[in-house]
Amino acid sequence: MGKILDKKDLKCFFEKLQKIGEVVAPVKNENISFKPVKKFSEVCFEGRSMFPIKKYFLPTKEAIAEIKNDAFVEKNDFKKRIIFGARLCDLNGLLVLDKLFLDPLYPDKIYAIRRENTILIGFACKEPLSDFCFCESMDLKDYYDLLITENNEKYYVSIGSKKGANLVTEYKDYDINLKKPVCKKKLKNKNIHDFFDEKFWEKDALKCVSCQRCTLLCPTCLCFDVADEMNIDLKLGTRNRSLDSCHSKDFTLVAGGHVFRDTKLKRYRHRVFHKIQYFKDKFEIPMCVGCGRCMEFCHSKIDFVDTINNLKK
Amino acid sequence: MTKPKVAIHSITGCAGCQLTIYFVKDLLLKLLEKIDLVAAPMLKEKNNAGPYDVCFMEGLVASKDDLEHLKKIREQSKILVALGTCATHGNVPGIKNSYSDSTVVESRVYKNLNLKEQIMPLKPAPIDAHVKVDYYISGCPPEEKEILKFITDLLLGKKPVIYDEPVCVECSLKENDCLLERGEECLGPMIRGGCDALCPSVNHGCTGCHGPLSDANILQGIKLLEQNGVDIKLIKKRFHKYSYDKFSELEEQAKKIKRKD
Ligand code: SF4
Ligand code: SF4
Ligand code: SF4
Ligand code: SF4
Ligand code: SF4
Repeated sequence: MGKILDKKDLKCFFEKLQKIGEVVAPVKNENISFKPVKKFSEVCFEGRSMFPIKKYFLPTKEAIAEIKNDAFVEKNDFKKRIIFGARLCDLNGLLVLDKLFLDPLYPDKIYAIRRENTILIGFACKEPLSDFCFCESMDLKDYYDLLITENNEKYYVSIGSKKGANLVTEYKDYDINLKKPVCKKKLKNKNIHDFFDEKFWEKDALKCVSCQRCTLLCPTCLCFDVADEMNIDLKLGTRNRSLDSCHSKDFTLVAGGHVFRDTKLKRYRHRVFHKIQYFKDKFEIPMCVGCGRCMEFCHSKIDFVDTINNLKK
Repeated sequence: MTKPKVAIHSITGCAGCQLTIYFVKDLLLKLLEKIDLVAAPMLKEKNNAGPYDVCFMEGLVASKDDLEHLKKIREQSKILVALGTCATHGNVPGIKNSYSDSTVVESRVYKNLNLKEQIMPLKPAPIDAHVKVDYYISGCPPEEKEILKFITDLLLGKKPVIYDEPVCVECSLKENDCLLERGEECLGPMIRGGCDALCPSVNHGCTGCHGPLSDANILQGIKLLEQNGVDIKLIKKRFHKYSYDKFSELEEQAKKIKRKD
């Protein structure tokens, strides 16, 4: 159920969105990247971006507070933003981030403000965008304000929220069932508790170069580091939050110099367990949304899905 | 608070690392309000001997003179920082170590090998081959922001933590299209970043000027380059240009681990 638009309508709709706030959309240069766009023609409707949309909620590095002579001034500026053209895996990535950052006990203020001020408009995938996609195995939810499916130059807009519905009141309704993509790649086992032993992960870990692309580019990896950076006058500075990664050796460095996960194997295994097991044990949904980036952009093309599928006692 | 006594000394090198500090211009003046720069022979006429709270040592050991100077400075310094890839890894002069017979190189460079003993070449080596080093800030030249962060951390009484992640991290955060994935040459996965992925960001593969990551996976890194058709001889040359000893050591370690499996 939803609304139907033709190509001309979609352009008008896009221009209407520009009046609401900053529109960011996938743009293709050497690779595909989400950027602020001025013209409808800049929007790339194919492929998925290398970097996920999490950067608009959890920037790769940002000052969360100004330090002025020992006092902290929290930063809190945010404008209205429309994310136009996110894939369903990335949108489900936000469901994962929300679980943590919108936790009623420990909400993250900056994240919450950004979520509230962002409109999420997705593009549906008619077929998997890469050989590494396995979203079909991850039971993705309809988590968006609007989701656009292209079919023979017509755009079917499914409505996921009231915020979304209000944007498309003037268009005609449709009533057909839209197909979901069928992935060749499948994750066959989502319970890996019994396979913690090092021997299951050795082969993959030997190929790991610690480049951290699997976590930095993952739509649901949310680990960050907080550090103060002072100007040379030692009076002014910023408290910065930046993306971190469990594939970094220093991720588990503690006072005294000890490193808990001191081998690539321990770090790789931890990532896979967090993605597939630990998060699910706590929050009921797996952390992985099946976008395939961690394999496609891994320098060594380490395929944890294949490895899990072949786990045998 | 009394200002910490800081020195910048140098042995065999090109002086580019020191220049990185002197080039921070307006910042240098602010910095001088916080530190007492008691010795910096390239910048000042009058230079005091130690004791120093912190001494930045640029260059590598390549002669007896170097070695004596370095040992004296080490004794006089509470904190000794190896500044730049010559001091941390031996850099270009270390290429000589890839020849089994060093006189092959020396006889080509010097017409007369009967040099005074003091300047007679020693086996080129990073400074930690001879003295204890407290911190390493590599780079050819090192990054201004890394040096400044190091100094501010010390001034604040924090234990400085030197960035030790591969070039790929900063490169991926900048959303660069990966050269390695495009089938080209890039040493990024094996090299310590901190440079904001300077070279890959302008479409030039990292050639390794920061020296290797402390736990670089050399064997896999070489494999990835070979998959892209890069000749193993060229890969080794790249490694040896900045860091002959450390790469050889990492390679040996890796081979041992492999043999165990
Ligand atoms: S996989 Fe690693 S980086 Fe990603 S969320 Fe988990 S611990 Fe953090
Ligand atoms: S773990 Fe891999 S496949 Fe899963 S969401 Fe992250 S990048 Fe995508
Ligand atoms: S992307 Fe691949 S090589 Fe890089 S840290 Fe992750 S598993 Fe290791
Ligand atoms: S271009 Fe080089 S540094 Fe950048 S991600 Fe690729 S291999 Fe790493
Ligand atoms: S990318 Fe590599 S060669 Fe270039 S500045 Fe950084 S470490 Fe040096």
